[in-house]
Amino acid sequence: MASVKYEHVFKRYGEVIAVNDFNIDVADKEFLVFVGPSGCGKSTSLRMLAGLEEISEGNIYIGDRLVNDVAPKDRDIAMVFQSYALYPHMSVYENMAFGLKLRKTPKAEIDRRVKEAAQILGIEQLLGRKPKQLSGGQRQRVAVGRAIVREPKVFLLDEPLSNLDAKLRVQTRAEISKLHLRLGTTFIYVTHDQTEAMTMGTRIAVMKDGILHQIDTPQTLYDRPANVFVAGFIGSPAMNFFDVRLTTSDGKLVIDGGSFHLDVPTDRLKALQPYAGKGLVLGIRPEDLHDPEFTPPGVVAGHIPSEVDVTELMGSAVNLYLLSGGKQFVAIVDPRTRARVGNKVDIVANMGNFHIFDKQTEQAIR
Amino acid sequence: MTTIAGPRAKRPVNVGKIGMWGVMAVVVFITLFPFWWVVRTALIPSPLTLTTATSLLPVQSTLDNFLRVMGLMDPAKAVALGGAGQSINFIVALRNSVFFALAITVSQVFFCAMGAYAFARLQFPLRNILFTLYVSALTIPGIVLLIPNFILMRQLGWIGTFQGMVAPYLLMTPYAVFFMRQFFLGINREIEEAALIDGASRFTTFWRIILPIAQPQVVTLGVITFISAWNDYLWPLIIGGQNTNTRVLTVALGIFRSQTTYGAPDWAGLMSGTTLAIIPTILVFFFMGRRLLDSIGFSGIK
Repeated sequence: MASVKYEHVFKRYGEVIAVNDFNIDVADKEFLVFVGPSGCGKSTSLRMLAGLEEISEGNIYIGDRLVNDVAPKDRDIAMVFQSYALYPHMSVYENMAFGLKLRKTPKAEIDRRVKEAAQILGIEQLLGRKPKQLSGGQRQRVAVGRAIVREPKVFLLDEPLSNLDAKLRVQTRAEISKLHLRLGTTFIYVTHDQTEAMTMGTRIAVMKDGILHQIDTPQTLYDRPANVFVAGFIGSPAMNFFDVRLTTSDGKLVIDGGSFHLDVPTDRLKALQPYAGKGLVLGIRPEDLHDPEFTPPGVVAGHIPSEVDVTELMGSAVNLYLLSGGKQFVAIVDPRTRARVGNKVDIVANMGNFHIFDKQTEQAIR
Repeated sequence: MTTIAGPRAKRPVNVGKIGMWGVMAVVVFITLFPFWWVVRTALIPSPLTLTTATSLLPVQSTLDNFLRVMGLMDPAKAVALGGAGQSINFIVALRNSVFFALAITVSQVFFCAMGAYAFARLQFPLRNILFTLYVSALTIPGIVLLIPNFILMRQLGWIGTFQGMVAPYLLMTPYAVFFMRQFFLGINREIEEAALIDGASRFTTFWRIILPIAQPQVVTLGVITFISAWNDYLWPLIIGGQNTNTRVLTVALGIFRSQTTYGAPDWAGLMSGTTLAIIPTILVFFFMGRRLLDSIGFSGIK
């Protein structure tokens, strides 16, 4: 059990900065997810913590110990790799026992731990098999088992689900969350999939181009994204963005999107007043856009006149791809909607839940 | 109801396949016939070798040739049977060959694998330049090195000794290093990183993870090295040929061939010695063949 701390950590490959001034405090027993598009530095950050990559600048602590110059094997961590990295010539049992054997753990203790881990993961019947005789899901469990038996202070998982099929991924996601609760160990998990991040993490660190953009709970990231990147990355389908201008008419503050005009609700007036007359970015999530016929009660409505471009029936909802003033955006509406391709619809925007960003800095304005 | 054509359903005759099998049969015949001729001649009583040359099967089969070559027969009787009265001292030559080939195989495979692993995975200055230089040694024909190596061995005073025979072969050969490195480059790096986190040192990773994964390649390299060392003639002749204690089988057979009584070599004796000398390589293939094929199929070398 241990906390983890990144202190002004940099990783440079020649001229390229892969990780840029990375600062994070991970609490003991936390499940922290590093998420971001590929090449954002999330794996590099994890590998620096594991000791597989050198740190160009800064400090990394596990617990109170500075680990910059500590060998990976002495960092008291265990890692699950994307490819699982099982030893192909060893049986499942030997794969799980290898690390303990190297540490000269007594045989009886190794046996106890391997069997216990196998039981937790439901792979007891596979212990005698070789990795190539296992399915992808089973291999993934063995890789997790190999990490569990070590009883590490920190668990590192590098995209462990990306080689599984969609159904198994959803199932394994829940199992890893349960495992985290059961083991009570610090987990650091890397993924490019925002759904995995949202469903598993107690906190999420959103990264792009080596820079940490925001770190917070899934709910806060969703409700109060710090900037355009985080707003667009978290949530699926992604948030819609419109280039708008704040104007004043009849003493009211209005968001002017060209093809639509939305009144700024009173609770946001104070924050937005200083931007009157300026160009901004409006963000509205697809789930905050409604079919006028099926708008839930209590929604502070703004209207966006649009034309239906494409409809996608998802079962529990319909995704409408709409055009307004030449700009395409998405709404998730009630499945009973009668909107069809080519129809004009006066889409209702929930003005209780919209986001405004500065056009230059892309930071949220609150 | 539709019927599904079984395996015995009539199929059009595939001319290409028949041609392929035909070519293969010819190649197999060309490869195996000399072997058969060696064995056949070995089984024929010496005086009959030239008079029965048209017979495909041995005439008046006998094991006498084997016995006299191995020195298991009274010399007078051996001469009477058409031999030179010389034997090969087969057991000593066999021992020398096994020792020579095994020493070279074991050390060369071990060092080549280590060198290849270093070139594939370790970071050190000038690594790629060194590798290119090393592999470019492939272009130097072995025969060019014969005289420099001989002079070196003479200066070391190792002529006529076992260490002189094995010394130039003990470390690495460019081909083997290249072959192993290509394979190591293909091993998933994450496996090594997992071992590193599990607590393995570089050498432990090499010894307990990489080498076992590369087992088919190691076996292939071992078999190839063993056979080429087993069949080596010139170097063991010039270094160890003068003395029975260092004379390997190929050299012993060569010397046996030159000891003639009637102007022509003792073909029957020579062929029985050759037959005996082939047996170990056949055994190696017999036990390792399966793995050898797997590895050749796997690595795509042929």
